[in-house]
Amino acid sequence: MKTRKILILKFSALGDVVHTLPVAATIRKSLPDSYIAWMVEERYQDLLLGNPDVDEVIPLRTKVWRKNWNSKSLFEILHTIKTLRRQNFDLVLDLHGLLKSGIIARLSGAPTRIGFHQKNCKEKINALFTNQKAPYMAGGLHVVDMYLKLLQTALGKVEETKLFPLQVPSEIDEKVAHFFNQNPELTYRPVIGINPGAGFESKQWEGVRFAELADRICEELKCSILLTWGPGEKFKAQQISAHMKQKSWMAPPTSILESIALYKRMALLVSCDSGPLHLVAALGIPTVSIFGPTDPVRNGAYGANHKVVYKVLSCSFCWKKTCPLGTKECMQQVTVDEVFQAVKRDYHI
Amino acid sequence: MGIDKELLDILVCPKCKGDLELSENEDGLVCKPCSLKYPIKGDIPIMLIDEALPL
Repeated sequence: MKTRKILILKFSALGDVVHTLPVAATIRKSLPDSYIAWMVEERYQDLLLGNPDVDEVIPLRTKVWRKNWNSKSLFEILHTIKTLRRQNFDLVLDLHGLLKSGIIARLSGAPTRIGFHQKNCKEKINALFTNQKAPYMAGGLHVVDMYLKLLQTALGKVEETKLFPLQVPSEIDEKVAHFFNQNPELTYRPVIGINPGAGFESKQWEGVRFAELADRICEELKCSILLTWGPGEKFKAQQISAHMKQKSWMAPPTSILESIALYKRMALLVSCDSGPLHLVAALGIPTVSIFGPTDPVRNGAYGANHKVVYKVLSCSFCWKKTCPLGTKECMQQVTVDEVFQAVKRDYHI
Repeated sequence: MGIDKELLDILVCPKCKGDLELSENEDGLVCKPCSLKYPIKGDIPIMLIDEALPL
């Protein structure tokens, strides 16, 4: 049997890369002999290393290339394209729907390039670069299911494998275990994580509300609070800690793999619509999330054991990075008590 | 529209993982060793063993 060479294009962000894992798992199950490559932004490649469903990770450095545009970056781009073309892929799955992913799909030289219907593309011009389109998908589908539906255009209706394999090397796990050993008081009680950051400002909930929520969790549910943060978000976690009456713990700075090892030790995570929310959901850990400008039906935590608190307003799900009204009404209307009740229901003591 | 020939080359029989052929009237993908036909409905081949038709 001929080996089928398949290229997955999903470069970023953290949550989106996590949501694409079942596509690789489903291809592996349906076509066990296929060669599966995945092009991903360099900063997320660790998520895929050691994944049994991915034979090759092709890193992209678009952020570096954009920042330092010079002859070296041009050389790197040309080298990446050349490497891609040499692979002779049979099939490209463009799960991004962007201009850049479309260009890469076309440059790969693969005879079959499958993408979203033009109306489902984030950048409609993407449809010019793909030669097979998934049927139009109306609202009401989660992105995980949208990605699997796109795969269906290539492989037909196949048995879907909704698995999210996330591997953490033992040395990284031990490093994170060391943090917990150094803070034994943290682990006397179940650990509930609070991750206040989110990709864009409109998705964030107020720090003082997180602080009030964290205090109620400590006092009424007898849990420890671990505040987690990513690049550029440390001050948000510090702000919550400063406003809390009860003791909390600040997570150490972590790489992606270290953050997985950290989240694995939690009983539950409270978060806005952020990468860590989707990472934790993929680990099968319960979550409570606060949504506003993005639609939880499409982009919420995937699977059972997750609760979302959100308000449906006339301007809900605007998908804007900053609130067009300047009021962040959709996030402001979510009260501390509503989120606390969701945590209490989710976390049975 | 019919199934794309390039895609047919990528698909395999979910049972034996062998190659498939398009049936004469193009309503399914045939695996000769397994004597099964995987029906094509609305341009989507149903690659599930349980829904395959015996030849």
